[in-house]
Amino acid sequence: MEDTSFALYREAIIAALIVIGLAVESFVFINTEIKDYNKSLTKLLKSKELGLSKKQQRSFKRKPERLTSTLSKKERIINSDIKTLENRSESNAIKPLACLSKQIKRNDKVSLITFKSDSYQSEAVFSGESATDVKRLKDLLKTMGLEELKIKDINDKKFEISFTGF
Amino acid sequence: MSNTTDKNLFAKVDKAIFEQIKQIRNSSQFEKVSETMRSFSEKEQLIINQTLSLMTLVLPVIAILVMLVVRYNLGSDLAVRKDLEDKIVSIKENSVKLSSIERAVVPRKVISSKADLVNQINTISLSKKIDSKNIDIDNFSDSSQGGQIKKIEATAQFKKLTSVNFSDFILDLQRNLKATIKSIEVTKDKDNLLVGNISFIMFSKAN
Repeated sequence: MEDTSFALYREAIIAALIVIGLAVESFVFINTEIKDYNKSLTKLLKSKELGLSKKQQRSFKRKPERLTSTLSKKERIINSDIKTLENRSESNAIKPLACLSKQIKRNDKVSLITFKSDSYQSEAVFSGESATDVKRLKDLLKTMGLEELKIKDINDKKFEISFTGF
Repeated sequence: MSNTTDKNLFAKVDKAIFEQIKQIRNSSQFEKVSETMRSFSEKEQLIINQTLSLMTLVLPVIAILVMLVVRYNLGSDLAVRKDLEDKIVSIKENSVKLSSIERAVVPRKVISSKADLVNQINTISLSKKIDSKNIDIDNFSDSSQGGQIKKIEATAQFKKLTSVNFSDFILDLQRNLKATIKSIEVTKDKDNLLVGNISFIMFSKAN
């Protein structure tokens, strides 16, 4: 009987110590941290970027999970928009045309008749008033550093080029 | 050294417990309880003793379990708040990032349909004194990845444009609608005017 009482007494003391430890951790440390978060969240929830109504702002103390789900949705939308805009193609089919136009603008005796370009390849047809003008233009195009430049004569005064890049 | 101190500590605790038990046994209340117990039959005394022992054994365990549940709930509550704060910080940071990309890529006007795009193109034509009949919008399509911004693809078929009209139109398409020219095909017709098509990509906020 005495041994049992002794063992139970010991158990009660150990249990009491564990309960006190858990209570201190829960009601002092965790509760204080929750209060600190509540203060900081009250300010953060007023941010314009979140677009939350006053009712939603007030609801977070009672139902934080509901607000978490609303904000998760918002976060997903923003991330999706960023992804859409960041994955956009930077290539611009107008750049090669602008470059060619700039070069031939200096010479009235040649003109660009047809131009075709996508994000990878460009094709153009030029014509000149004389074979000499055409030759000059070809020489000029060769100095422009166009990638994979191919020149194909159509006739004495007309030729076609293709190139990549930009 | 530390082991000896531990043993001394437990010995002291044990001694204190024994003292307490002795005090309880010598108290008048214990006497009363003992007398009451003696009034019961042996079997009843055994049941009472066993019940009390069980309760003394189980109650502290229940108390610990209750505290563990309380601690778990408070811990979850704290975790939800931490998660909420992380989300808010992430939303604020990404909103700033999104706004800065949007300023460069998304026009202020919302294009929600082909009609809206045609209206915008007509506005550009009008401002550049281009006959709006000379520009047609075709192959309009829009897609969204679940966000508020959608990607719009379309083709502008044009005819009878002067070089100045053409360059003005392209410039405004890029400046006002923030369009990226995906492909272009342009030819001079017999009157030395430009004819062809421009496929472009642009972005717009959804309504």
